[in-house]
Amino acid sequence: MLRTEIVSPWNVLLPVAGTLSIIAAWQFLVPWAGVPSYILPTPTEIARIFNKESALLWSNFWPTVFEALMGFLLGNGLAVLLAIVFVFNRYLQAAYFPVILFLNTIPILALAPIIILVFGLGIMPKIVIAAVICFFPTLVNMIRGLESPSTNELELFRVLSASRLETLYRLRLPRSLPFLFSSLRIASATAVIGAVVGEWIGSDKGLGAMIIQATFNYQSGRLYAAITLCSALSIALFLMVVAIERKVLSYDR
Amino acid sequence: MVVDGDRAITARRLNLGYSNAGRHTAVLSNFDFDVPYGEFLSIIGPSGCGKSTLLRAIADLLEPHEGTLHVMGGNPQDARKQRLVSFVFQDSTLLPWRTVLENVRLTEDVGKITSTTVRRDAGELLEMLGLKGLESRYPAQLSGGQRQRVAIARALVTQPRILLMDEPFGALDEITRDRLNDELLKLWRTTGITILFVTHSILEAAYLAQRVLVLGANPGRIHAVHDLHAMKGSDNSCSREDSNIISIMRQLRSDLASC
Repeated sequence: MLRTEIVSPWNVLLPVAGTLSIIAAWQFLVPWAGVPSYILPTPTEIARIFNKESALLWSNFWPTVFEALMGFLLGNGLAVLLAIVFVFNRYLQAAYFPVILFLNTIPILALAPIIILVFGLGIMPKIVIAAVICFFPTLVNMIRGLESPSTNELELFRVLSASRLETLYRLRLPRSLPFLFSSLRIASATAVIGAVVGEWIGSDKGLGAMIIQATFNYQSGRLYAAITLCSALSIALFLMVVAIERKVLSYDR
Repeated sequence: MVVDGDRAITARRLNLGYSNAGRHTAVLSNFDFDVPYGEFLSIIGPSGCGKSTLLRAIADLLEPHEGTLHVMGGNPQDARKQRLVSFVFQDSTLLPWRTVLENVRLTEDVGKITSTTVRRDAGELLEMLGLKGLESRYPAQLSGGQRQRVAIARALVTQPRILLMDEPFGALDEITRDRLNDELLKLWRTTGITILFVTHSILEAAYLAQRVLVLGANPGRIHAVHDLHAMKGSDNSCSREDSNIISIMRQLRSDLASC
């Protein structure tokens, strides 16, 4: 207890100091080393873009937020449902899990054009790509989580004559939550990657489209501003997951 | 034909084991034994002798390979469905996301409770087991002894007739174990429940039980039975330092060395 109290301010101060030192180095050392601003603009130049082009940035930010969030919900939701089906029916799991494993080996960049062919150029293919990228890790983790109750716990439920549904609801699902949240943390970043990749391939709005356009037009300030927003979105999603996790799993602390 | 009479558990030519890919591995074979209503029976024996397997069969967690097993006059499945049997495991098996009170009430939340199931008040049980005031704590906030008390309260809430305990105090320190042994005896005296208590501790086996069943391994069989009724009287009381208990412990130790 005493140790935590002494250490805790450093836990906050050190990462902040580390980040600030890198930003300072970026601001002063990069121009000093002669790196041109069209390759790496300084933090203040990027901040100026945020100020000057805020309307453009926000109008591209919100579609990506929507796609990433919807993809996150869809991909993880389907993964949870399929994991439940697989745990309920081992034959289905034996038959189809290897197929899903195989599909997962296809790089998302190779799969994305097919998804766009199927779903067109609207917002849907971006959501689907974000969902696909979230799906697999959550499926695997969720199956592990649903199968994580100990033999004693399962036997306790059997002695109590619990039905399979009751065992699912009262034991397997609560037991799976720590596993689910660890994959949701990962999915909070990958959902944004999925949405951005979708926008790269066929879109005129969203952060992904903005990144492509800014790159081709040498608008490096705008490019870095878009990248910053992508990262901020991932962090926001991650913090959201962590906040929910803390609330839901509060019994363990 | 098995006539159960005043027997809580009757086993005749019972063969228990595990089947894997069509192959049966016998753990207990040709096993005959009876447990009268209300008896406190300890079961002791080397690892692999089938102590836990026997409890699991009585709880309907394992189907007998051969022979008959009657629990409260019927088959183990009916006894389980009527909540006549409760199980206490070595680890308390409390659900970490449920509070103490919610864990005790788990038995009411799952499975069909028939109208004949008589329920005890969870709060009253917690008080009886010295857990008053801890109702809203989570298992992570309890000591090992407290967790095991909660597990016992949970097992008793549906007023079972038979309590199966598989090394319930095995992971506890000696002082806590002694205290819980005394509490369990008190509970047994007030409820009249039949208890089958598997343990590795010779002292625990001798101190708690009216009868001690010593099982031998390879194959699992009854090696010896020690009847302590005469020695302990109807209330099954004795002192741990009692010379009779010490002599029983000596016998049990020599039984275990020879089985």
